[in-house]
Amino acid sequence: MSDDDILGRLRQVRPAGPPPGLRARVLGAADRRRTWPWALAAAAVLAVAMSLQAAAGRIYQRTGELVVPATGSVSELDALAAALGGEQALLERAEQWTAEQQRLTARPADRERQ
Amino acid sequence: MTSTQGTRVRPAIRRLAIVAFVVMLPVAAWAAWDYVEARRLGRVVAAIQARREPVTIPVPPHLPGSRSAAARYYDAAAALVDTEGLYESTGLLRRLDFPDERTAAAVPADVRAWLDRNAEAEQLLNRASGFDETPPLADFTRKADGMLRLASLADMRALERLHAGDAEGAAQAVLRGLRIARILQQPLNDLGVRTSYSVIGRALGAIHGIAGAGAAPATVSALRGALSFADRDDLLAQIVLADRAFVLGQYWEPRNEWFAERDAPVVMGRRISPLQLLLMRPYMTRQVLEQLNLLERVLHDVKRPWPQRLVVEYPEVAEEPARTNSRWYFLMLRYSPWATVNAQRARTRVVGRLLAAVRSTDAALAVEQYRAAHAGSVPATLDDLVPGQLKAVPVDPFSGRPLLFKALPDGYAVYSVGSNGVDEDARDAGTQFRRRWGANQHDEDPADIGVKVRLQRAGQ
Repeated sequence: MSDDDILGRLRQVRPAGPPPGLRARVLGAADRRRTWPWALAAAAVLAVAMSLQAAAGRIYQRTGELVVPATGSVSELDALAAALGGEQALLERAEQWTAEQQRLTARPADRERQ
Repeated sequence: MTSTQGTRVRPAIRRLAIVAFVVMLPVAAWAAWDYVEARRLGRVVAAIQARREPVTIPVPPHLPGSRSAAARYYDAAAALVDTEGLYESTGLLRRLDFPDERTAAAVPADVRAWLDRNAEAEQLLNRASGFDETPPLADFTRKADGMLRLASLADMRALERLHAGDAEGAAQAVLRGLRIARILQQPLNDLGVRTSYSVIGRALGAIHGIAGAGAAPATVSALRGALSFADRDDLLAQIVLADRAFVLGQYWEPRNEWFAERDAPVVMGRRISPLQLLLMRPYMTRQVLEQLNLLERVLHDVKRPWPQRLVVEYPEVAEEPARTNSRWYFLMLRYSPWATVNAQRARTRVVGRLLAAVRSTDAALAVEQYRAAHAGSVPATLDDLVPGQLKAVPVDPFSGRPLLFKALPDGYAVYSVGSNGVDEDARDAGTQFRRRWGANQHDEDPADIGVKVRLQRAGQ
């Protein structure tokens, strides 16, 4: 039996190779199985984080409404006029000084606005 | 062709999904932490409010100047005060607090010269003091300094009048000083109390001189009325309540509101990005909660009877954060319970002293009223003043028992046993009032705290 005969017989029993598209088909199927749970988990965690953050923000805001003092709104000039009762010159001097003091102690940005 | 591309793209998507998941896990953990701390804080604030305890310090409306004419006079007078020669290391206040033989002789002339320079400011101060209403001190931190300058003006005038033998004039100046102290105490927190009692401490020194100089009964009565606001039995508890409200108010300060402020907020002079604040929020909330818990325990302690309320058991808290120039450090320091514990420790010691001093002074004024009604004779005990001049003998904060009284060869002493709890025959009484209460908190405690009144005999 020559070598050619042996090779011929071996060719007859050698298993046929997988079809060319098999690898891509198998791996593709595997990819489809493994990607979506990760994506879903990431999305779920993101959603949970965002809702917790929003809920915390609401709590902070609600609590802050209890804490932050409300400032009154009175008519400064009316109250001042009522409290004046004369001594206008001295009061004008007082106003002049307070205005100057405020200007000097104001933050630079506020000073520019003035 | 398509399937080959799919084999390359899908693993990349899968890897991306895994990375996203892994990255999102700590983010979700941070959000959960933030939520848990927010809920805890929300519950604590709701519980405080349910007990009708303050969750905020009412802030007077910040108006240009103020809506009160009296406040404008105060502002103007404060702006006019020339402090040169007052605060320096060899200034008047220093020489008055720590007199030495070398410089003491020149003090009266220096005081007069300083008052002459500030005549216009004093005129405005007198106008401000003439109004019935006590104006709110809008923007306390900015204006407190000016009010302290005015208090010095009143203090100097009281000294000058006492030196001139004019007890009535001195009393009027003291009344102006006490009015300033009352304004400063409107925010009943650490800062308000310290500044206020630094003024009261000086006024007490002048009152002792007035008491010995035989002031008119109406003047003594006016001084007792003006001093009454300073004797608050629940002072420590009120300060702790105000401090707790301040901790909360500071946390929600508009400049810190990560949900409202678009510009980078400034914390202790450092510009902090909103993202930094947001990331730090659960940590800072935890710090605030720790402070609130700490203050709750202190509040429980300071509601006990005298003198136990002066012995506060401070829980262990973390040490001061390591100092760095990092912005994170300034965020951490601001809300650190470490600072709160330090403030509370200093305060209980000072509050005990100042209440003892105020009560002793009031009792001494009551003795003066008694003397006026009994031809100048000194009572045998403080019980003799009840109910005519006192409803009850004031309680000594350091002993929980009535204040002590001792007749002296040239006058009398009303005093507390002081922090050591031992009656040392009024030793040190009347020696510590010239110093500022806020400044001498680390000084050695005086033996006894109170008043020694030396009576001026006829012809003196």
